[in-house]
This record gives sequence, structure tokens and C-alpha cells, in this order.
Amino acid sequence: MKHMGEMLLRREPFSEIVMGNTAIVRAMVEAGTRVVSSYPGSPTPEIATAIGTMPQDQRPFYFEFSTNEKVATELAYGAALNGHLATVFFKSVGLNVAADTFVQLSLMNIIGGMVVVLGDDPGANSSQNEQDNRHYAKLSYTPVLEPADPAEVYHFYREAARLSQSLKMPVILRLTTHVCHAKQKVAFGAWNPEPRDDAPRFDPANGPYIPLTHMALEQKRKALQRLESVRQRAEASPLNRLVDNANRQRGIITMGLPFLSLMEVVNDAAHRPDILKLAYVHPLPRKTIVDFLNHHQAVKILEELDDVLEVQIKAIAFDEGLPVKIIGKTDLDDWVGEYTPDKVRQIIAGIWPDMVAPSTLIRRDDPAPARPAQLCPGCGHRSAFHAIKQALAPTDITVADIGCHTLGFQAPYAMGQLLMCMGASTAMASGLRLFNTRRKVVAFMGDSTFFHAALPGIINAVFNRHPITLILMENGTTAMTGHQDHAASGRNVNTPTDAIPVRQVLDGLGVKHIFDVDTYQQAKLTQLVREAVAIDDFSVVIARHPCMLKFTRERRKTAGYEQRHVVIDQTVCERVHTCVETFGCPTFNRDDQGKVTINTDLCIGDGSCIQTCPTQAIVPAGKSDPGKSNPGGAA
Amino acid sequence: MKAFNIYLTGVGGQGIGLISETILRAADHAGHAVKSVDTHGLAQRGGIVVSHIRLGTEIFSPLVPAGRADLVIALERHEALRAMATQLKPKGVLVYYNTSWQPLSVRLNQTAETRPAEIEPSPGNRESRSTRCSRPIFPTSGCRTWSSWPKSAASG
Ligand SMILES: Cc1ncc(C[n+]2csc(CCOP(=O)(O)OP(=O)(O)O)c2C)c(N)n1
Repeated sequence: MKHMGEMLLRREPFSEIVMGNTAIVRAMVEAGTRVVSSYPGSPTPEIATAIGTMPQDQRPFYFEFSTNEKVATELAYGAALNGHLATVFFKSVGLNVAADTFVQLSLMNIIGGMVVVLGDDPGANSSQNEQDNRHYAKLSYTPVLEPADPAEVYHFYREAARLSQSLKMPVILRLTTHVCHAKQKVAFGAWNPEPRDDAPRFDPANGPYIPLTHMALEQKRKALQRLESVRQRAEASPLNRLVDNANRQRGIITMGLPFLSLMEVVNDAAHRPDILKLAYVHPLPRKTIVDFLNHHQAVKILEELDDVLEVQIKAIAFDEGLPVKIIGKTDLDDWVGEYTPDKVRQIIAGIWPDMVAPSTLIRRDDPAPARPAQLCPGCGHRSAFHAIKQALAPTDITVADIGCHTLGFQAPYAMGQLLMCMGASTAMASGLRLFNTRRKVVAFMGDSTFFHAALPGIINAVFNRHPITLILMENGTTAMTGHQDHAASGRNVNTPTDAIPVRQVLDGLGVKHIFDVDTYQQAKLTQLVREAVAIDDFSVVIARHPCMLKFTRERRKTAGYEQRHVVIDQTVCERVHTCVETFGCPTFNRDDQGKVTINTDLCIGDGSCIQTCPTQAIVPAGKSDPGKSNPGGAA
Repeated sequence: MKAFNIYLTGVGGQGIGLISETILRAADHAGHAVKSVDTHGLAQRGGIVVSHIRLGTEIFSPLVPAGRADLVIALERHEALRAMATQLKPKGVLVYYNTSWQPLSVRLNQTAETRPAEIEPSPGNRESRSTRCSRPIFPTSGCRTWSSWPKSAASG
């Protein structure tokens, strides 16, 4: 493969194996998109990675990571009002943050066009829920296109952009995790950059852009009319697919990735059903659906997550008085989890066992121990939890927030006993403190989250005087989603910027008790947390250490990098096991005799563990035992 | 070609993504239609990372159905056992790197570490061929093959 940036900017048509998240970037280039914004969240951050491969001076559009999804949406909207084709992308739950702005978009005349790319996460692979954002589309009168694979991602983005530009309304392109991350060969078109006119075309006469009283109702009427014209377009769209197996008994209506799972499952079926695969999933192409219903005795609606298609299609059949039997979701399991080929096999076998035999589903127990995600070796959050735990009573309440530090809820730390969403910890902790004088309440928070959605909760704690302690886990980056810079990093995605130090922000917000320490100084951190929780006022401890995964990756790329690690001095080790059982760095392996060794593939030699050993048996390699450790734990 | 399913598994940080990309491009270079999907996101923090790679024209989903992998490549012993039990098809081939990155419960002394003997094919186990590698280079150097199948078809 040629360098990705060069590929994305090629003028001639080409074919290449790409991820869905890369295909969409080429579509943006070809469509003439001018402004793209985002806040990182799985499954979408690789869209930014692909954008980043195009050198900034050759990138045909402006891109930024904004402070949160709402800000990103507002930025894209503003740009589109000047006539630029704009796109905002973020993960499923990002839409909750953006919602206050997002629900207004369809009321507006967006002259440049605006595509909202959602990365939904059926199966909650890396999200705190698996919410079905098609509900938001209905709520806000916004059209939705949903692709099933990278080739469709490319074509459907182009269609979404054209639709949005012609009707001047927002259009959602709904992706799901394994559409974003699937790879296959995609045939791309040519890119003929058109001469650009960057004159700001905002004009109130294009509006109204002020949705108050009577105008808001008029704007809603317009939005509904536009939605009707989308429906007409959907009826005629070649993007909806009919798989005609000449089966007049059984049909299936489906969409998105479940379509591919279904094709997999019925491929070897004796009598394959007809399949209508929808590309336009809101509003529904009514005539197309009526036609399909009319030609079958029974139609199964196969949709992941909620019964959005089912309810509408049943209503259509009722209105039209159709005799067809419509089979929707049959039990609770149908509502939960990703529609993988295995899941679809089970569902189809449940309703039509003569088509797909249940016995073809292979399911076996997993005999291996579970492997939950862990804090990385050297992670500053580990040192922090280890130290903070010693400052708190077992009955004290600890409140987690979103980010790598959320993993602290697991053994052996059990730090962070409840979790909601980004920025929620401070205010939940404040509530837990009401009428509660016996149990201290401590909230955790990452630094990207601090800027994203945490400020109102913190201001509230100051303003309404909630005597809790917030521990700000500052690692300088948005770690969990792949190390994107944030307002305190000193860089944005494009250039170096002045960092906005969290301590100054807290000062400015009127927080009176602010402590500050590197988390590797564990004894000091324990001491500071003891002091902070003793204060009868809102206090903040900034527990700082750079993300060691990021740091180590950068170090590995520099000349003269030498891998370091620690070793266990077996002559000193008394097998107290604080390192494995309490500090819990994944670097420590223990054998069935209780002997502890170092996994040198994992250890980065940061030495944060050294202070935790009561017998001082952990030493840097080369000091006592010259590197004679167990290499990689290999047998 | 009929479908050929490869299931690649290991622990976050072992380089599954790079190996997957290499196999994907090699398959494409050899003229096979190919689809794949990798785990991204949260699971990479020391969790299980997998990659599904599917060759052939008769495939639709990028995901390998359970128990239908023709070839499992595992970069770690616990993950080799897990994938052999849940993903490998009967008579499939397992290639694994014999190292242990102990899962949390093993380090906490709550469960036993998986041993190589548990992964070797036996009638009570899966009927599979397994190739054990003790150096992180594959396929042949440092590998030994156990086979309950004709040797000629073995990969090791
Ligand atoms: C509304 C919303 N947007 C994005 C995400 C995705 N997300 C999960 S963890 C995380 C990182 C938070 O970064 P930070 O607060 O700095 O903590 P760190 O991971 O660096 O410890 C993000 C953005 C989310 N869960 N919710």
C-alpha cells in the first residue's frame, strides 16, 4: 500500500483495502467537504487518524477535535451556514452531549449541507451502553442512511452529502462498530477539486435561524416537508437492495451490518428468503416496503437493538390493510447485543427452523480465565489508586468518571464504585454527600473529561458548597481513545497552542483547596488525600503523571532507546505479594509455588512498583540481578 | 475458493493489528477476495485483542462465526486455549506462541495458569492440529507440531 495520505489525495480512481473509517475520509475528499469536527470516541477515532495522514497543507478541509461533541456540532453548523459542506463525527453517546444543538438542526436552512456521522456501538464493545440513535433521528426529523460495509460507507457518505446539500438539511450517516472497523477492497472514484469560493455566505435572509415561538412551529413544518421529499428520494434510490430469491412465502426486511450476517446465514439454506435491505432507514421508503409486504406471506423484520423499523412497518401494514404476517422481535434477547452471524443464525432458526437448523450454531464454553482490560504497566492511575486507597476508610464512597481510570473499579483497587457518563462524577459525588457526615465521598476524573463536560459539576460544587474531594487524574492526554490532545496538552490536532492548565482553571473557578502531586510520589499522594478529605469544603487533588503508554511509544521511536525493566531479587523476596496482589501491575507473573517473576515484554522499567515492596525485592535490571529474568515469561 | 477463516488472537500490545494487516495484504496479493475486522478501543488496554480474517468469494460478514475458524493464530497461551475451545473448527489448525501474559485472576491466585498440555490435541480435547512456537517468529523456526492428523497437511 502506498502511504495512506497520498492515497486519500489521489486524483485518479483507485481500489484499495481500507477500513470503513478510512473509506469515509476519501468520500469527504471527493465530496468537497470543507469543515470536519469531532470529539474522540470509539468506534470513530480512526477517522481522525486517516485525516491526519494527509499533510495539513494538502488537506482539502479544515479539521479539529473540539472540546466536546456539542461544541463540534455547533462548529460544523456555523461553517455550513457560511456555505461550506460540513461534517461532524463522534461516538453513539456523544449524541447525548450534542443533543441540545443537534435536535434543532433540522429546523434550519443549512445552506452548505451538513452530515452527522454517528458511530453507534451495538454490543457495547467500548461504550457505557448500546443506545440506538435511530430514535434521535425520529425525534429530530433527520434523515438517516446506514451502510453495511466499507464500500457502502464510501457511497453512502457521498449520497448523504448530496442529499444534505440539495435539501439544505442535516443528514445522519449511521455507522456501527464493525462497519467502522471492517476492512475490504473499495473502488474509489476520481477526485477533481473544484475551484473554491470561501466568501462567507451567511445571510439571515436564508433563515429564519431564530427558532422562537411562531417561527419554531413554521420551521418544524418545513422540516417535516423536507422529510417527505427525502422519502420520495428514498423510494427511488438504487441504494436500497432487493435480494430476489423468488421466494413468495418468506421475506426479510433488514439494514446495516445485520444484512451481511443474514446473507452469511441463509447462504447455505435450502429455500432462501427474499431480502429487502434498506439504505434509507429514516424516513422509510413506504411504497417499496408495501410492495415487498404485498409479495410475501410472512415477513421477518431483522434489526439490531430496538424495534424502530418493526413498529413503523407494522403501522404501514395496518394502514394499508395488508394480510401479511409480520414477525418482529420475539423475545428480550432480540433487543440485546450485536447481530453477529451467530446471533442471526439463532434468531432465524427460532422462527424458521426448516430454513436454518439450530444445530448449525456452534457454541462452546470458554475454559480460559477471563481477561479484563487493565491499566497499563507504569500507568500513573495505578500508583494513584494504590496510594489513595490507603488514605480512605473502607466505607468511604468513590465515584468514577469516564476514561482509563474507570478500570480502577476492578480488583485489586476497587476504586470508583459508580459510573455514569463523561463529567458526571463531581455532581453525583455531591449528591452522595448530602445528609452524609459519616462516609467521605471522593470523585475521580480524567483531564480530557475535565474540559469536556465536567466544569458545570465542579462550579456547582464550589457554588453550592459541597464538601467532597475531586481527584483529577491528569495524564496530559485523552488516553483511552488513542491519545488525542486536549486543551491542557499544549497542542491541538493541527498546531502547538498555549496549554490551559487545569490548576489555573480551578483557581479561576474559585476552588480554595487545590493540591498537586505526581502520582509516583505515592506516600505524598496518600498524605495529601488524607488532608483533602479532612477539609469541610470542596477540594481538588491533581494527581499527575504522563500517560506511560504514550510516553513509551514515543520513546521507542527515538534513537538510542533502550528497553528497561525491573527484576525481582529472589534472595530478598519474601513472597508478601504486594506487587501482584495489591499494586497489581500486569508485569508481575506468579507461578504456582508463589514465586514472582517479571514479564519483560510488558515491563517498561518505570520503577513505580519499587516503593510498594515491603522487603525491597524489586530492583532495576542490571543493579542486582543483571537481566537474568524470565524473558517474556516464555516457557 | 470456498471460505477460509483465520482467527487471530492475543493480548493488547502484542501487535495483532500489524500481523492482521500483513496477512490481509498477503492474501490480497495472492489474489484472494478478503475481508477482515479487528478489535479496537477499550479492549486494547491489556484485554483480549482479536482479528477476524476471511478469504473467499462466498463470505459476507467480516466476522468469523463461532467454531468455524480454519486457522487460529494465538500469540499467548491462555488466548490459545480460549480460541481453540470457542473458535477453532473441528480438525482446524492452531498455531500459538507459547508465552504467558497472566490474566488478572491468575495473578491474584484465583485461577490456575493455563499449561501447554491443556492446549495439545487429544480425543477429550478438540480434534485439531496444534503448532507450538517458543520464539516469536512464525511459522517454522522454534515450532513443534503435534498432530492427530496426517503430517503432510501440517503447517509446522
Ligand atoms: C460523551 C462521550 N464522548 C466520548 C467518549 C469516549 N471516551 C471514553 S474514555 C475517553 C477518554 C477520556 O479522557 P480523559 O478524561 O483524559 O481520561 P484518560 O483516558 O486519559 O485517563 C473518551 C473520550 C464517551 N465515553 N462519552
